[in-house]
Amino acid sequence: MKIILSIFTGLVFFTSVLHSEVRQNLVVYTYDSFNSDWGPGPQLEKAFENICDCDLKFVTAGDGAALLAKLRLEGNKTKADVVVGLDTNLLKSAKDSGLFSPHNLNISLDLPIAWRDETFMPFDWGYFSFVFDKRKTTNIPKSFEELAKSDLKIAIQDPRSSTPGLGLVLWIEKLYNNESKTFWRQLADNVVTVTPGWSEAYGLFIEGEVDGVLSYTTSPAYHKVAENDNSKVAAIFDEGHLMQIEVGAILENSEKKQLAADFLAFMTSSQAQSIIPTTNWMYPAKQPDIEFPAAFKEGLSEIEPIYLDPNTARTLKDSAIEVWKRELRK
Amino acid sequence: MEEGIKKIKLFGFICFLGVLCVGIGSILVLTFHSRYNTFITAYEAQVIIFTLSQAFLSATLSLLLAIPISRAIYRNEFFCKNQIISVIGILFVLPILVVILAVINVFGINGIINQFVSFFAFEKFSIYGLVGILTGHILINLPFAVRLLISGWSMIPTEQVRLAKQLGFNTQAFFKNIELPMLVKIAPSIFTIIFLYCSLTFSIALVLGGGPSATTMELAIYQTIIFEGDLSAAARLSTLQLILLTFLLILATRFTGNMFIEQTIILKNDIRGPKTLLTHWIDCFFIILFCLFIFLPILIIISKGLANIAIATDKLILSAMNSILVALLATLINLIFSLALCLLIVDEKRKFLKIIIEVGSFSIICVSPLVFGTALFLLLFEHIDLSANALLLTGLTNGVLMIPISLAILLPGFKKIKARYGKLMNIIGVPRTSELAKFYVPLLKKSIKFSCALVFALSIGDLGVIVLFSGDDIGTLPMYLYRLIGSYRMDEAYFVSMILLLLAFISFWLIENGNLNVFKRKQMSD
Repeated sequence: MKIILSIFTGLVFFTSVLHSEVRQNLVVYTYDSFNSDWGPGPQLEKAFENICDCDLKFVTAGDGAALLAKLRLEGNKTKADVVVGLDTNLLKSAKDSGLFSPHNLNISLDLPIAWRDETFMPFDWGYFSFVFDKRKTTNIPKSFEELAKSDLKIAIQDPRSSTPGLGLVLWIEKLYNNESKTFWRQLADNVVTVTPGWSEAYGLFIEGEVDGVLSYTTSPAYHKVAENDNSKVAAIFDEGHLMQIEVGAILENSEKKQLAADFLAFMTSSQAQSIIPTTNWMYPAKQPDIEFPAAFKEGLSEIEPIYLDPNTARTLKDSAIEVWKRELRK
Repeated sequence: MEEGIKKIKLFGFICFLGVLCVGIGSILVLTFHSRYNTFITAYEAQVIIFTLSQAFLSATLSLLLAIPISRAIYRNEFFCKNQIISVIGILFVLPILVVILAVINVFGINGIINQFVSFFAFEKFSIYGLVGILTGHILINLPFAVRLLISGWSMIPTEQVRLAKQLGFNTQAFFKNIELPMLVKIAPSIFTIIFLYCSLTFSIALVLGGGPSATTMELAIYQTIIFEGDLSAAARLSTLQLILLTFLLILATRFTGNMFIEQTIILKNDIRGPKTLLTHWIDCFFIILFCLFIFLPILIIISKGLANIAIATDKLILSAMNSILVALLATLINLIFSLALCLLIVDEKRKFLKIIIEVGSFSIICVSPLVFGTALFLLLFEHIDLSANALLLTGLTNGVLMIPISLAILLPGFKKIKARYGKLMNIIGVPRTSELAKFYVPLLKKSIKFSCALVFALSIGDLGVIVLFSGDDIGTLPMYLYRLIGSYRMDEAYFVSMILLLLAFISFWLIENGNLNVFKRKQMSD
């Protein structure tokens, strides 16, 4: 028994020793898919380490919501210097946590809306939208009304466990205000099912179980660029599309605030901005010097941007989820 | 008392305390990190009622189907019987997301069955709703129940069957007098395990339930911890969950006298009760139905995997190796804990204490994995580098959380041996320290192998409770799978699912059937 115990403690020690510091470390928290083999993480890490003489370490935590949860659980004892990948719709509680410090950067961005925030720095953004398969759906709806009146079957995500899901209920709440109840009731017969996360819903769509899925306007670009598949198309709604802006921030407790700020600035540099769109499949926050595949810009200029500032998003959230919960009950 | 046995007992007791900590400890940790209040909202009450009722229905149906199916499999000889018995549990090891996609491919709008139905010009049916939830849960739990019940049928003593034949029992009398008592003894524990499993998940219920009315407590807990950062609400919900489920566990224990299931399957060619032409066809029906139900989803995953076959990348191989490491560690820890707990339970003479230790050890299965993960995270993140030790921690937690499963398999054997040889061991003066090595382990070799195989296969496929917090770009195979899907790579994900399935199956088969010779004293084995 003693042998097993000592092997065990030995292992713990061994793994800790392996991670001793040599160069200056910058710990960046992000969501899981950001740092996967196909995400922007590995390329960004390499590019930044070339210019910073530091060791950049990405630490991942589930999705965007889990990322904030992890930071909140760790409180002011966190080891993170920077976080990238917080979603604007959850930003109010991030702000209230007091965990973040101003970045003191003055960078002009190319977002469709004016962005002023001294704590959070955008690095990419996207529009929520429903994605359909052209080969199966000939009448792609042009508005929420058309979608609700059609007999198209869609999968959406749960606003209580997924950021796109939350985006949809906020989007509808913003468009319909007091009428959102009636609208959800009309949409209910189109909603085949609700999934806990984006992956399950998109899986159902790829399997042909539903006609459309709540995702991003950039999703079809992935299929075009990476798979040479032109069949997926995002429905562009006349009412406009809710924006999701992904931001980064510096942790109040970080002892490397300057390096952290350098990283946030790097995230908006031409080099980083040309990596992000075709790895994270979101629009660049600042137009880099290179041109992106045409698929990326399709329909982009026609879209009316809808933006909810963090405070409004927070105020709308509870009642929006409540309405959704009540009206979608079958 | 000898020095050695004191040490063993002490270790067993430490294990027990550790196990207790998992449940009550997790909730205490969350409570300390929050402002506690005890009110329960109307919404929460609704969620609790839904959780319990869907779990109740899933468990009841799984059990009701498992009884005729396992009986049919046990009573009849057919093609590949032994192979089928060892594969049926394998869907259990897949990540939930893959199970959902497999279910959709069979029962969905464009699934095999609906295509078949529409070919004959009938209207397509939709699975979403209660039917969907039940289908998903039954698909996962039915094989488990069937497997455990088959060993139940094989437990019926041959003497009883012979006697029944001499007395000329017909099917009804045979069922009433011989088979029913066995079912009454083991069915409640199978029911309880399935019930608890179904109350602690949320993805299947939500996706196949089709909407927010299919919200289980686990989703509510996820929402409070991840989205709201409201630990007090999470602590309140999980306290409620723990109390309710433990209460159920105690009920089941009292009802059966013990919680446990005989595991070894002995397929001897004895007489298996009266048969008529009618029962023969009924048996055939159930076997075919069951095989279709269980194997269609598995075949779909394998065929999709083969269709998307790719060259294994370094990351894939690394993830697979990590998964095997995690599973090895989990199996080792699980075995140490369960053997220690089993010894502690059979050696305890005070009945009250014995029940407390039994129920306490089983209560881990009543704890929300997310709550456990969060508590572990809160306790450890300041002291050790969690992402560097992610594999170690995943192995540890997997091993501990699966203790109830291995106890369910091992404890009945321990009890039987204690009852049969306990006095003998005292008389011939076997040092109590070597009871384990000389009696329990060699005699229970089969059960121990089965338990290890199950824990190993399960933890290869399990995402692990600390996935939210593991935080590194290296990971296990299920994590790799989720990343693929999260990056739009559905095709590769099917390939990885197939690998996962094969890995779990091969390791299961190797551990259960392989003659690894880890246990010496083979001559004493049954």
